[in-house]
Amino acid sequence: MDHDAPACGEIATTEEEAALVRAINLDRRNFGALYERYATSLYRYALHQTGSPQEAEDLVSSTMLAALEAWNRFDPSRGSLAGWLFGIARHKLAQHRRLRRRLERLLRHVVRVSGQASVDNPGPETEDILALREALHHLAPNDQEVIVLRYGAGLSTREIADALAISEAAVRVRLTRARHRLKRELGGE
Amino acid sequence: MSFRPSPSPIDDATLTSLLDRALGTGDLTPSQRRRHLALLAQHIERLEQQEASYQNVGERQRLVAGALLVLTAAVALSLWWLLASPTHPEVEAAADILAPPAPGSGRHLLITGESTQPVVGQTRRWTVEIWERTLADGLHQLAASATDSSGRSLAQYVQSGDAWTLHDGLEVDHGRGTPLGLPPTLATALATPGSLREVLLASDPDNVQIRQSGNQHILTITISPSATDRATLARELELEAEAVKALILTVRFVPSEQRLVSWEAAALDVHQNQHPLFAYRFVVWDVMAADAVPDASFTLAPATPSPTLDLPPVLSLPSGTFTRSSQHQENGAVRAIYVGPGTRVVQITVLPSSNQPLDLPGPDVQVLRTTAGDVQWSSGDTAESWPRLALWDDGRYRYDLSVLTAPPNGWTLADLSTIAEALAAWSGAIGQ
Repeated sequence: MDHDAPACGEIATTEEEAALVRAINLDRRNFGALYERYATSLYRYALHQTGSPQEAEDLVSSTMLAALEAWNRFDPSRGSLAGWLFGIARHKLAQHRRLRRRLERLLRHVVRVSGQASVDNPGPETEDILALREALHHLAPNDQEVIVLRYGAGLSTREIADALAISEAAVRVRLTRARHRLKRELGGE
Repeated sequence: MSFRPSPSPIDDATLTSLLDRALGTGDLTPSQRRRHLALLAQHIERLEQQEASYQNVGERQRLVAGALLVLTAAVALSLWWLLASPTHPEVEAAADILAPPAPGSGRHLLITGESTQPVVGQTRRWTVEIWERTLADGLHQLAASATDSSGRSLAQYVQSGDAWTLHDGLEVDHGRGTPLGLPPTLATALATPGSLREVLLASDPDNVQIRQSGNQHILTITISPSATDRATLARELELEAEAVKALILTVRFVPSEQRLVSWEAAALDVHQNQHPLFAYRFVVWDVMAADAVPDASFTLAPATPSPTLDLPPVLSLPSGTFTRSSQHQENGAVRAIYVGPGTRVVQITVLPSSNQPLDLPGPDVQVLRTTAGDVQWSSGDTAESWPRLALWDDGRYRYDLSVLTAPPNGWTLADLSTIAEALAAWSGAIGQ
């Protein structure tokens, strides 16, 4: 089983990534190309992590702005561009979750609210997709995140490793474990 | 929704396909993308303006500060001699002229300077105008303003007793904050008779030549910097390492009239001894009554007054006392500069707390626990481990700190903790 090839083919190859970095270093106005390259992947990652299209959009926007601000600190020798970008997104997401938890605690004092996030307008989904979503919820959060980064954002193993600040071997272990668990949950094993 | 297992086994390919279908969908709408790109373009424009402004400031810093570095270095290089050697009577006579005006007296000085940079072959010129007086009650006041050769304001400095304020030209022009480096902060302040007086009094008598021309007495003081100081000077003046051979101070005065005729400071190039890298001289020295000095010279209003946020305090850190300059900004923030020993300059922007989560950009952000709360910090784009950037919020104010310059390992987490706690104490006092 090969986990290394990007699933959706939207993440830049190393050569494309290097060209993109050079272009932005040359003129920061080329940052729009980085946005076009990674916005969809970031959005899918954020969408599945937050469960809300609105929050996902905000997360894409704030991640891109933070990346623009911090661009001078990006060092290609320390990791991939995608890994760096998703590292920022994870940081933003953690902040977002802390804020949301505080907000939910506050709200629970006022009215009874469900703390469970819901995906807005998920659209019609087939039974097998619904079953898969259910199975995904049963995974450990770390494994869920690796699956979303791999199949939602289309990151390679190396990029996921950079984003999560773990080794590529650890990413492979998590992917294999998660897939095994999903197959079992879905009745395959 | 209840989970119902698939009736048939599932293989790898099917699972991958399912995952792609379930997770690999969803996208931003064209209007969301346009909005994001517009936001990024706006942000890029702001960053570029900010950087142009920084470069401008950097250019001005070097212009004004370079010459004054000669003075700073001279003070530093010769200060050790002060206690060890007697001062020559001629030097004492010149130093007396440079002493603050007697109560009820004032003076007006004009200082011009120029620098030549061998690398780019460019000569820069600037002027510092100084009004100084001592009121009848003994209060000493000094106002200095530096302009470039086109008349643009580079920096303004006002001192009244022990209090002082400095604005650099861009802030005054545009009413918004820009980072000041240490050099302009101290530069204008140092271009004063008082700083020259210190140099004279601290000079090694063996390095002072005295001659006479008519009624004028001429003092020439030669200072040979150490290798370290030469390297510092070369870096600040954008010269090759060790390019500065010597600093020469020349003072002409008429003892019988208590009058300074001229004063020059020059940094000589090791290769081109006849052509100073830096030259700096008095061209006007007028003495007058204190009430003839315009009062307005000593008034420097903040560019954007803020009625709600007062200035942060002068802080003391373990490794030395910090002095300050402050600038109100358009958004209600106060941007303060704290100057420490050596080349340390810390900028802190104080904003009313927004209750937003802390969001110091960058992947290597760490958290320092202090009694003032959690402080996010990072070493920025350096490979060093000291905190160059920091962000924290005490519930009343949010503090955005950046260390503009610091000697290697000259700024520590302990310093950061101290400054956070001192500001929290200040914030608490404001709230009472």
